[in-house]
Amino acid sequence: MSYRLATYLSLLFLVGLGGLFIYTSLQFNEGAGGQVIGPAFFPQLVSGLLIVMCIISAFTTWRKEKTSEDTLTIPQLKYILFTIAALVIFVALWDLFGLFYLFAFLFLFSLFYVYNRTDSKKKRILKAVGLSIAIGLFIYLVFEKLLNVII
Amino acid sequence: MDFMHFDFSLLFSWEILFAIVLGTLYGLLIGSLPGLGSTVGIALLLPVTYSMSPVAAIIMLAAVYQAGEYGGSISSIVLGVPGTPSATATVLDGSPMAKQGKPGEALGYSITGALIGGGIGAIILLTLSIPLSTLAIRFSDPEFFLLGVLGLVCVAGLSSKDLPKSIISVLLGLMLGMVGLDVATGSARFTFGSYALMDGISMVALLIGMFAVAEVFSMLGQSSDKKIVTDTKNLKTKITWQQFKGVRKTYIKSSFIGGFVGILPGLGAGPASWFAYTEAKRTAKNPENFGKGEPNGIAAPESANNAAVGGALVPLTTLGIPGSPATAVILGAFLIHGITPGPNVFENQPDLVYSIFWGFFIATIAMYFIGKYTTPLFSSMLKMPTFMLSPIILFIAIMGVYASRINLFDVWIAVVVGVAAYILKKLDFSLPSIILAFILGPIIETSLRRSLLISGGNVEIFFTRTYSLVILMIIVLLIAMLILQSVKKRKSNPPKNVQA
Repeated sequence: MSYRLATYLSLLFLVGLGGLFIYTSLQFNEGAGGQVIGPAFFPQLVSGLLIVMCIISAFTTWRKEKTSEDTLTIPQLKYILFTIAALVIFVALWDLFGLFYLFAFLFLFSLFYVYNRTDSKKKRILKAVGLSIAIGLFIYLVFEKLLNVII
Repeated sequence: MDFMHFDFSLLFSWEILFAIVLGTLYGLLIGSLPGLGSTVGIALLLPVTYSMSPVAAIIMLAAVYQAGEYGGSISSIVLGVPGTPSATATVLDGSPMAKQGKPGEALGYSITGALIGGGIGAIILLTLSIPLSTLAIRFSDPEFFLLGVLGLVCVAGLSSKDLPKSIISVLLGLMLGMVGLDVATGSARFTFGSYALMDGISMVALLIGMFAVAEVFSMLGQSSDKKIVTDTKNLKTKITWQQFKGVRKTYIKSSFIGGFVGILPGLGAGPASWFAYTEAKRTAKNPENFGKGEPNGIAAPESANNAAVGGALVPLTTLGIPGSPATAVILGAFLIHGITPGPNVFENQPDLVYSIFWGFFIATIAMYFIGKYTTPLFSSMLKMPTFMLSPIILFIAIMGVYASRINLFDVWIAVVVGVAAYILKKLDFSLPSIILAFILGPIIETSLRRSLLISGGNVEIFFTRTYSLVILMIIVLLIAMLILQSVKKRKSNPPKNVQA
């Protein structure tokens, strides 16, 4: 995707967000608490400014010189997408079933195994298992035992 | 000069020395773990102090506070993830320097800054506590509002690449800071029916998402067996005399900025580090080097946030006003031990007060030596290949988010913010601007509303008070300089071929 197009899309999203904030703030109770300015004033001011700045930014992007660096590159996109998917599945499973250490082991194992692009399959499995157990142990000792964080 | 007529033998007991060492080690650990900061660390250690003498207890907690601030920079430099909110500015230059294979040097700049900042903070505490706290209480809502605006102007000017996007980032940070219950009226704002959002968006979740999750995504783009550090010599936490000379002015100036901002209740170490960073960049000979591993970019925030610790103890001890969450917990420790901080304690228990102040000074020196010899253990992580390092960063950061409020909703926020931040970073939006605006937003809004309530809606309140006027003039001056710089830049690089 081109950098310009991605910028326009992001600015469009932000304009939408600003609009949503303004629309939502119209429903705030302005008369509450005897305030000179109510809870809606600041959100409306900031959201309004955001929309104005997005328009200015779109204009400056449009005016900018076209260069060869106009392409937005995301190296190793498949690894990023894998990480997002693994993260979402891990947090969802932890949220739904508890069993933190089991899901944490599976999550870490999958990351260590997939990210390791150099070793043989056997070595990758061994390293992933060892590292996942070590990190789990570290979390248990530092967070649960030392800092009394209930996981 | 009461502080000079102090019986130093009171400090050299085994209990106090043990308290300093334990507090420092614990502070370093808690500060370096992303998500857990000094406040959480002090709160967790509070029960341990019940059986200790009051002086040892307070000194131990102050040592945690001080070492926690330095500890935050370890994670910022080594992992590119701020260990504490006040170490966010350190990421900008600390992490690039570490990635150039010089984590020891980056940590050297940081720990030296922590020593100088902490030392100057302690000297301020010892010598200027009473006059400065008198000045601080003259600062009211109009001044806090303008200081917040000053912070936003500073941070918006940080990004020289794309000013409109930098301003958009500031506005986005302000909007994120509005989520939650309105303090003045109790209205739920932008919670969209979610109870979890009533408390607002967690600062830790935002920080971790923006820096840890987005950083891991960036790391995935590199070769999987790449090691950031290959030479063990580069792990030693030290800088040479020549390197020190290059940043000494920044250390001193930033320490005074940090000390003063720390005194003002509600601001604390986070804004202090950003003010110092901006000032260092503004006055630097080569501002274009900032963000690429510039030593002054590490020296400024690190000396400021440690100086802010001493500063934050000023209103606490002299007026009994905790200016930050960490000092609020320390106030709890004072009260548990039957001491009510305030003007009376100086008159009735001077030995106790000066024991704490001098103890804090010694704790700063202890932090330097303990930190110097323990931080290479942290930086040795950079010898790991990327495929090992990135899951470790991601997982520990996620655990830090969870541990900060024991709330899985925060983890979800960190994930969403991480993905969004990665895209925003790619498109040259300014992540630091979002963070500082998020911190300053509630201060600005609350102060603005209170000021107008006091003045009955008359905006003259911002122009008729001496301190307000001074801050206002600084804001105008900064904006004028920003515009001037922008015009100069445009003149030196005129657009060659404008097209759609």
